[in-house]
Amino acid sequence: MGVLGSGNSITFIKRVWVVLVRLNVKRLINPALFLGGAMLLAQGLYMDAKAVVAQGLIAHSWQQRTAASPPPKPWWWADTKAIAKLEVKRLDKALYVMQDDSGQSLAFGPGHLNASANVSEQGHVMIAGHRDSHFEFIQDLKAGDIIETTNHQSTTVRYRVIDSVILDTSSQDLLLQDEDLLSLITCYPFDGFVPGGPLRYIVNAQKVDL
Amino acid sequence: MKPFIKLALASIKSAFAFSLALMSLLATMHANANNSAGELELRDQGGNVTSALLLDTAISGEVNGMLATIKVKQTFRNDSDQWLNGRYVFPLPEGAAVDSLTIQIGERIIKGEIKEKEQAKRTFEKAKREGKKAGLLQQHRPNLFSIAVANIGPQEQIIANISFIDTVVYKDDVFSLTMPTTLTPRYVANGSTESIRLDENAQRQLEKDLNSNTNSEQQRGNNVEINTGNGWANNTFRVPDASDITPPQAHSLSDQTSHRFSLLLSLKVGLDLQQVSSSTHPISSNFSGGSAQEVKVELANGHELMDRDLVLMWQPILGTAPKAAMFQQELALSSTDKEYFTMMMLAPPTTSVSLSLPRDVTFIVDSSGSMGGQPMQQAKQALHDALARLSPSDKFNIVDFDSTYRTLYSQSQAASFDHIQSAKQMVDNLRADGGTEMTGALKFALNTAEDPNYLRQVIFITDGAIGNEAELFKIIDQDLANTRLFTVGIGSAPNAFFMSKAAKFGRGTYTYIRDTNQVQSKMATLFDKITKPVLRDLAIDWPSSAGKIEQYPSRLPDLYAGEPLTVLVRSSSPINSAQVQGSMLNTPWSQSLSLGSSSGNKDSDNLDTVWARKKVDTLMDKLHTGEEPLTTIKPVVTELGIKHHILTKFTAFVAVDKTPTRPDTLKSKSKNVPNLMPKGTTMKVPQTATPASLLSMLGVLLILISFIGRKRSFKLIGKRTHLTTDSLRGASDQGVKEPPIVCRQSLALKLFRNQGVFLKAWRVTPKNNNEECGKA
Repeated sequence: MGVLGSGNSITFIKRVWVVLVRLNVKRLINPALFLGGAMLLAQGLYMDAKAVVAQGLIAHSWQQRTAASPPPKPWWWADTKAIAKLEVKRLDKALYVMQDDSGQSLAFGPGHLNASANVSEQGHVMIAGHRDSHFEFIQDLKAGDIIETTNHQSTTVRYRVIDSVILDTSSQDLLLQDEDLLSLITCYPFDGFVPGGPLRYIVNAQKVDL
Repeated sequence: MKPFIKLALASIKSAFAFSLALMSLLATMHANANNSAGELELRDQGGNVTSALLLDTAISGEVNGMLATIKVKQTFRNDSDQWLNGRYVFPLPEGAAVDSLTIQIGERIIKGEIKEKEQAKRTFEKAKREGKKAGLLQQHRPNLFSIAVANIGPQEQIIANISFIDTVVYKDDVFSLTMPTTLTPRYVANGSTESIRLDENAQRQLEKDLNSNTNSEQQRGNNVEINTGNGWANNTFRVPDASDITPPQAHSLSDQTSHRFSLLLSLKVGLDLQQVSSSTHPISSNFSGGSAQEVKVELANGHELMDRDLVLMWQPILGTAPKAAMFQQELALSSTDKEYFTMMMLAPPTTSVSLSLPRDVTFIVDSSGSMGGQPMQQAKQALHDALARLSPSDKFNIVDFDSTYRTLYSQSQAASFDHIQSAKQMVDNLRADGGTEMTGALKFALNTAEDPNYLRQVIFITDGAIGNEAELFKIIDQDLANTRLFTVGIGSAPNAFFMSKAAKFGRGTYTYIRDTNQVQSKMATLFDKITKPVLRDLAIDWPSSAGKIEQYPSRLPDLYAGEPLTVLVRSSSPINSAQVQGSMLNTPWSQSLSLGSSSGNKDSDNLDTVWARKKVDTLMDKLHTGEEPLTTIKPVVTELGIKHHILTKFTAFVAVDKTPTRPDTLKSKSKNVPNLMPKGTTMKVPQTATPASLLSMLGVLLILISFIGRKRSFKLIGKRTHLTTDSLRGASDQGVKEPPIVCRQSLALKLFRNQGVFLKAWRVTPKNNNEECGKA
């Protein structure tokens, strides 16, 4: 992440600048800045829009699941699919959990860490989401809040939030516990701009017997 | 019109260039962020382990004196409605002599035969194709095996019974038996990426090779074989069987009944036992019939998850710990011809003398990804403990490695307060990530210049999760000189074969630290061993009446305090006594043993199997060190394996049912049975932030800048409208009075005017200034 501030990038910008000047294009700087800016803005907005729209499409596909088969692909070229639903009634949040935690999946919804226990089954379940879209709300979760997970077979498990911790992945490790837990994981700090930091915000919740 | 189009085109181009540059910057940022999260992803294809075969393991057996006879019963359940072929890679103790395989289907029991490995594979593949139930047991490392079972029908189960004989470990007056249940994912060193996934054509070719009787190995020459197993790694030159030793591994399984083992062990040690305990699992021990000599051991909870080694320990009543023992077995080859197998155990004398020579200790610590979690904590604690045990007259250094290695000092430094402080700091900053490239670190530690005034010792702390064992053994053997290498195993499931063999080639000892609670006591024992004198120059005088003698290990190791020697001998006549000689601190030492007087047994079983296993071990060592080539070792080991009915690198057990059960019309699918991740290992943390807001922010910023800049240029242009038209009309520079100054006032210019480079570039072209300003 330190790329912008490092010496390399400064010399890089300098070099680009010199080339632009040599090409005698200083008049074109403003249009260039405008176009570049518009493209970046468009990309940023597209990412946010994708996160919102995808959940809507997935919600539709979720309705088509049966006990025997998981939901179909939410759109025909989709490379990921939802495997569970995550709800926090107090905050009026309902999200669809994607099948893995790859970048592609996380763009559309929070993702299940496959090495952890399966959603709505015994063991420690871990779900990760983006701090700037789907999992922005987890900063509002308080101890005692109820989180519900439902898998495609409509098995619902209820968890009660016990605590939230900040994990520094550069010195600490994420460990799988032997208990029936649900951990929601996202990047920290929530208002950070530059992605890729080492901090993670983790909300831990304990299974509640229905 | 023309210049306007030109300008528009150019502006689009430059806009592209600029935004591309920015995006590539952001992209690299993003890529870096993604890579930093982890190295190996341990999932099977599809990320799903639920549909695989389920596994149940029952371990039972008997310990008689120094020998353990263990049966492992693996039940593979197929809960699906398809025909399945299963493959399961599993660990056994590194000294295990696997001597039988039976496959049980319902009531029927099929006995496995020992065959040359390639032949066994062919038999198995043929049965698999014909729809017959079959089992194939192979050895990939002395502590890593695989079983393949073919054609398990829907809702059916197949039971594989594997039995092995192992010598019990006797160290520091405590007997122990370690039963591994899973493995730490091995790092696969990649010398050259000459790896090929088995595609369909290659599969056909392989089957052709297997069916025709041509020697496929010769055809391929020295090349790496295409992947034969279906592990997550591809075969490489440095780990030519990587695909066989890298089974899928899961942190947890959806079926909670799978991957659990039970235990039923009866200990008949022939000694009064003080206690039976386990440092890894809760156990219940039952002293049957009031006798302290026979004990039944079970798991207190009945079943335990297969995510860590099981270590059982038993200790004789104080003062009765045996110092020597001899066991013998008589084997009739024919009515007249007999062979005798003798096992001898001898503990070195205890001494309170410590060595006077100061030591030069190099610590090698593994900070690779597989050490993440509890193992790294154990390693750090072990290092802190060891640093505290150094005396100021000693010298030391620390080498830390993952994909590369780093050293604390370029050469060993005195263990002064300051040096120890900076060492502690280095240890605290250790972080587990990256690959496991041991070679560099080992070579550095072993090749440091030797000072004859110091005892050179290397303490190697690792989980041994590598696949290139042989390569490392060779380095240790070649570079050792007067250094001694001590291995310290860390974690829930270290690679005990590598650890103990590395210590053997390094002429040191192997210490296993299971958890952080054990660090202090284990390090104390280790330091006791390395500060006490060793019993060296050992030789055994067998009586001349013994006849022809074949002894393993043929070269006897030096004995550290508390580390007894175990020797196996085949002779043509019975051996009643033996004389062992050696020296300690240049003082000669000798002890005589005899069958009658010392504790032991005249009619033991299975010693022939253990002897053969030790012989194979010695032969394989010669292969590791390069003393003998594969072409001479392979036939000898194969013959030994077949004659003594034991599994080796070159032999395999195969069991095939007589009648086919899978209908021709149905196909069987292949499934891997995953292993559990060792307890206490870490998870990969995903990247959970997008650059969306950063991109939007930057976008808005750039647009704003461009607007401000535009405003300024509008003003400028407005001021000089007449001038622009003039110059376009081809007017000469008479009308131009101030444009250069105006040009310099552009905002973009202001922004960058501190950049010397820019000014330089600017100054190069003052002559054209007027024209340029005018053109726009």
